[in-house]
Amino acid sequence: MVPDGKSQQGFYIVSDIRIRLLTLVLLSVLSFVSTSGAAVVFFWWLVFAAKTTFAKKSWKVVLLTSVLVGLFPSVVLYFTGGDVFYGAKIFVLVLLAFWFSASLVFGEVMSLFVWMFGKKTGFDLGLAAEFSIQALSEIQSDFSHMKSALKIKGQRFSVFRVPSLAMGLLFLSLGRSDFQSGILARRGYISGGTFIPVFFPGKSDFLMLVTAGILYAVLLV
Amino acid sequence: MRIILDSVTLCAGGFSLSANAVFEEGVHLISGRTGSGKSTLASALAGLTSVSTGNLILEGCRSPVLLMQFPEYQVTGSSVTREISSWGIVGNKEFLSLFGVNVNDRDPFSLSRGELKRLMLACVFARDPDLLILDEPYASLDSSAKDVLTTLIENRRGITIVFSHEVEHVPRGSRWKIAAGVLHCE
Repeated sequence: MVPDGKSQQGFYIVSDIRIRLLTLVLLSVLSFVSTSGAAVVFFWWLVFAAKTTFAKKSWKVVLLTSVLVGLFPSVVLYFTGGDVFYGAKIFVLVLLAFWFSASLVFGEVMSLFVWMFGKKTGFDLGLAAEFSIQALSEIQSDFSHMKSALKIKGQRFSVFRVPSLAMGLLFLSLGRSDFQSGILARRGYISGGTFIPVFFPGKSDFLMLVTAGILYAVLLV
Repeated sequence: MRIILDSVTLCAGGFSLSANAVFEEGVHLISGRTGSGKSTLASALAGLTSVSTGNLILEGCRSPVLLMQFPEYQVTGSSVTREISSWGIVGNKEFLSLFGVNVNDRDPFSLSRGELKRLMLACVFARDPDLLILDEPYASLDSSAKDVLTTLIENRRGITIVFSHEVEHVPRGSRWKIAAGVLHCE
């Protein structure tokens, strides 16, 4: 099996997950160790990553999640006498995580794991990761359909609807997992497999890595 | 009452669908290959998604109802009884017996796909909307339920739009087809 660099929408993507991962690691370290680093990384995210993030993820979800996840530790640390800017670092880390997940292309994680860990362990890890990413994307789609269903019935989404909607999401996910495991079993999958990792590095990958590297060198080295 | 699609374009997931059509009162059967945009069009007609370009006008349609392809999406009640109530059906139990629905306190997710589909069909027909959009309504139904469904579709008032691959049990009405990204009247 060879990935062809196509996104799920059928467009060719010129990007290398290895370079993006290295960029992510550099920026995460930079934003975590100092508040000024977090501020610089936030600007980096605005320039290089915001467009990709908002193309795939709802801006409401991205901002609400990032702010809430960042706000909680800051509030706790404010009352316990710790670093109140810790939340700002977490906020930037969550934004980076959204960017990285938004930039993923079908088959890329499989390529990465096989390249890193080989055809046995790498294949198994890659397969599990690809299935997980696919499942998350399908849950998002299921949830969107369920919200439409509520609209059809003239109802609004509320906490009282959560148990039945969660049950629906679980039921649909289990059904798909059952189907996928059946296919793997029929194809004789036990462990490992043949997969040729292919990467399509693009100019923007190098640009992002170089800028991240310069920021890292200036602020930390 | 009618639906006007004036130079409408729908774009989603790498495909694009163009439509210039008018759906008058009666039954309209729309077919097309998997992935041709049937569910997207169904969703747009129900007012759930907006069109990319053009105008989609629902003239005189006050209560559009869409039956989704997968009945699990539409479950919001924790039991069959509560699920029926969630559709706002009061007293109209005729359709439930026509589709052989057992009204009880079972969890809707413990029903088979076919049982769940019949429950949802009974609920949408009991609502008696002026615009009923059915996305793959024949899927998961047995032969007798398909016959019941065809009869109900043909005897309905208002506009009924059926998106289906079904070739055997087909209601009488105008035929439409989605081919090469365009909606055609056959």
